[in-house]
Amino acid sequence: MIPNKKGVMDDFTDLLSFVLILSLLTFFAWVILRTDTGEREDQTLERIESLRGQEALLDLINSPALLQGKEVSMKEVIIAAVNADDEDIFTEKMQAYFEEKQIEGGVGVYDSVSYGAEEEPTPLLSYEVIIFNEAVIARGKERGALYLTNTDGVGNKKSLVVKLFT
Amino acid sequence: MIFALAFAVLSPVEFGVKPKGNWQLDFLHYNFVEGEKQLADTDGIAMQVGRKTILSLAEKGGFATASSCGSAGKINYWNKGQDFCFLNVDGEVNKEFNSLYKRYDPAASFTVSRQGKELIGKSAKEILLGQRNPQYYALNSGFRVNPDYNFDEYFVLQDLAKKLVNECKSADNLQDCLDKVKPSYWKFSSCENEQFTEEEQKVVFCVESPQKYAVFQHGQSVPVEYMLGLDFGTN
Repeated sequence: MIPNKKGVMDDFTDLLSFVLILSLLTFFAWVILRTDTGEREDQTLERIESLRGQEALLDLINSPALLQGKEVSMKEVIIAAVNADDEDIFTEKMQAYFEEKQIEGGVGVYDSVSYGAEEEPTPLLSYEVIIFNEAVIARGKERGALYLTNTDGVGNKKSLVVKLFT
Repeated sequence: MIFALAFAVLSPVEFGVKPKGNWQLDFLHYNFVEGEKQLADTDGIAMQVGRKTILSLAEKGGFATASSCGSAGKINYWNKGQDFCFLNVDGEVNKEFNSLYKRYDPAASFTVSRQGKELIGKSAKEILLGQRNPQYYALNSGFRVNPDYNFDEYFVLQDLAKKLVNECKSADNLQDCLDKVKPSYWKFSSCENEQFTEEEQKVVFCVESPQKYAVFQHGQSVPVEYMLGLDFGTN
């Protein structure tokens, strides 16, 4: 009886060790071969979207516009509107651009001092697409931002930040 | 076994599948796009300074500094008797542009050349993005802008100036002679309030751009007007 009992105990210990080793191997395989591809793909797509936002901002500031009968770039329109404190011309040109490109979102122009110092700086100029019921689309995520030097700017307006929103 | 388990749980090393294209996206985001943003700003400054250069040179008869034929205030004389101080247009544009650009970036230095209506600036300075360790991304900080103005207009004006001096240098009545010979866009003293004045046979002109060039400045279209002096003396 005694030798038989010892044999059963040995078999049981072997089984327990086998299960333990198998569990650990499964755990390691799960950790190492974790294939959460969906999450990773989302991260990549998000970064590509962010890049597109930056490109959209570059396209916006470099796009041509007519001002005082002269063909200028949109960055010159922005600078001229800031210097003249002319929200109307800024809105007119931005509206034309957003309608032509059929994009939604908005643009904010800040002085770089306030932009760097304040959490929610007040824009010098801003434009947002207005939908049919005249409700302004809530200012969304920042798609891109860049600095522009304003050679005619006075005080804080010497350096501007242009931000594009979704 | 316990160590291996602890390593897997506590290690900052991320196992498994990593996001695709991380290096490429980092490169585009931190180098290419950042570089394009800086170049867009450089182009913007160059365009604004280019326009200031056009107006500033026109105000001084095309000379960045005083003319060797003499000057009175901002007015530079184009000739001294029979000798003309020919403009080195490219040299003057280069000098004036760099002098104005240094107000915004004292370290900047460009070799500015012209191609039709375009201004082209080349610089040895690089826009360096990232660390030089061991790879880095650098851009030439040059520019190419079109302020919609051709500096060749100075050559047209120089030819006309020589004609005026040749035809009126020995005239009994200088004003009558000039009235007959000069084109209507050459005005005496001022483009707004024309008035003939002569001092030691020297006459100051305000010349409206023959091509009707105007430059976008301070949100306005500013006409290009050249201020210059001519010496009708025979000495």
